[in-house]
Amino acid sequence: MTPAASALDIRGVGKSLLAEYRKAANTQTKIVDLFLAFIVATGVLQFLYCALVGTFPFNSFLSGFFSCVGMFALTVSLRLQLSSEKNVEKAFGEYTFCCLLLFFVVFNFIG
Amino acid sequence: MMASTFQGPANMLAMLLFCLSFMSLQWQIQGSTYEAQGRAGGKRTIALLDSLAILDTHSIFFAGLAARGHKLTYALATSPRVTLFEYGQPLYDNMVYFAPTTTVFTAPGLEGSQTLADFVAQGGNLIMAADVDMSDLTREIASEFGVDFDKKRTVVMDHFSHAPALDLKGLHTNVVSSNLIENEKILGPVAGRKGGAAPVVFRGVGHIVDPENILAVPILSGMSSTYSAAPLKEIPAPSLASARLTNAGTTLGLISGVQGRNNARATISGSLDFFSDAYFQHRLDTTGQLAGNELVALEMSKWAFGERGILRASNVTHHRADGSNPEHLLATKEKPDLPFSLFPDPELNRQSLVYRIKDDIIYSLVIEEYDADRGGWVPYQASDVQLEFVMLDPHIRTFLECVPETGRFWKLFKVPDNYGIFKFRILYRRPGLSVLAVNTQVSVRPFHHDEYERFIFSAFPYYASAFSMMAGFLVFGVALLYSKPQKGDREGKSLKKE
Repeated sequence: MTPAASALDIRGVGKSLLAEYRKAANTQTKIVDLFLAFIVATGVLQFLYCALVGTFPFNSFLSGFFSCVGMFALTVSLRLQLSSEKNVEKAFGEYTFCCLLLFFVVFNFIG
Repeated sequence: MMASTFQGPANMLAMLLFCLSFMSLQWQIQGSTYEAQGRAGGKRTIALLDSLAILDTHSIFFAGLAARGHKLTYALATSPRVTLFEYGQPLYDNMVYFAPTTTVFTAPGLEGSQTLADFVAQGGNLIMAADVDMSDLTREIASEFGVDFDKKRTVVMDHFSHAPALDLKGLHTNVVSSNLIENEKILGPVAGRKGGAAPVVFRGVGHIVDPENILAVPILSGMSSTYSAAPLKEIPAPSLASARLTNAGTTLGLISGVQGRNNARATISGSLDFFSDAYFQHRLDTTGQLAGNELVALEMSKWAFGERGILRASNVTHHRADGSNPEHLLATKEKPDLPFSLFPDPELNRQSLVYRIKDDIIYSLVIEEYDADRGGWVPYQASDVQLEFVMLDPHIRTFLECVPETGRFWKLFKVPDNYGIFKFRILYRRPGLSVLAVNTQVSVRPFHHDEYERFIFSAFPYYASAFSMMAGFLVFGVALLYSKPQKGDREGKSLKKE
């Protein structure tokens, strides 16, 4: 197999994956995934900033970074609940409660 | 009846405790205002002599002391009426012990060599001279101060540097030495080999001081050709080069000074003639100038009798760099409703002063030096006074800055990032000066919860991230809950039940 062919294959796999995702995922799932991507991007940016500037307000970094990690974990849980046909209001209510708790902790710790 | 009998002792106990606490309070007040080490410039001086003839042969030395204001009391060391202490208190500040041949004391209070050690232990100063024919008692007294004279019948000799005019037997025992200690606190203007004094003449016994003895300093030592041996007794040839001749050269001690841990001073000379008029007035053969004995002996006696080189500390202060004072650990609380208790609060020093970690604080104190020649207490000047900020170990060790005009020593420094009970410690120990030890205790606490820095500029991205998570949560929630299901969604399922 030539490198060009394998690259083509990978691109083909990616394309088909995307097409399948577009076809299979519903709107809610897409919104959730978009939000997850946003969270990951924010977290990665913070990590890079910390590596660049140093760890001085370490509690601030930790709370900022953990707010992303926590939100990611909670949103993934929501996504799991949504995909298994449950009561959406109940799922979102629990999600809201956990998020409020997370924000409370984060803003206590951020300094 | 029973009650009253029990009450009596209890009241007495209370009185006793009250008196004790009052005494300790007094002590604290004294300690906080002025901490001096060593007794400065006492003038009550007793001279213990072998015979009253020494008053004639050593008149210039005693006249020199009297001219400086010493109230001299002369006594024979063998006299049965000598008293050094009365009701446990020393009657004299200083002692000149010119009684090398005295073998035993007869006065009731004097018990051998221990008496002189007691005298110094109680803060008295001592100048003592031994001689060639000194008694065992004199040796014992010297060894009380860590000065070991050479064996009996030995004499210090020097065939290259000596004074023939004083030498009656031609044994070269009148050694001429210029090996004086380079310490202006001890010898004033005549310190050092190139100091203001001519070489001195010395006839007597050499001694050894343990080189690890931090309390002793050699004031006068031999020249490189000086040695200690028994004259008229042939030294076996191998011994000259080997161990028999241990005490020789520039380490041979002729006069040494010992400053005790109570800062009292004992100056021990191996020669009584060193202080005599004949030696004071002797002209050196080499240059024809007057021997330095008089200058050296009198300058040395100023140090020995605490007229020079005594330090004291006062006005120990510490505060934050912005001028504010440290707070108390706990405010003292009146308890009028509780009955009087003999037992104080639990082990908690409520008045303990508290700084916070990373505070900038200024420590300062005034150090003065007693120098009778300059009129008493004068500001001390030095660049090597160290301050330590100690909790078990010194967390900070730094030189203090000196204000020469006032003798104020101060330093601004940052409290280390460690909390606990600290001491400002000054332990200043230099040859020729009395030891200065000043300790002041303070506590150091960590930051209070609300004392941490807030809204740090470099943390703004983290704040932004946390807020973006909140905003994202809102937007995401609205978008999720109000999105319409699309046609293409699998099985047309909607999250919102309709």
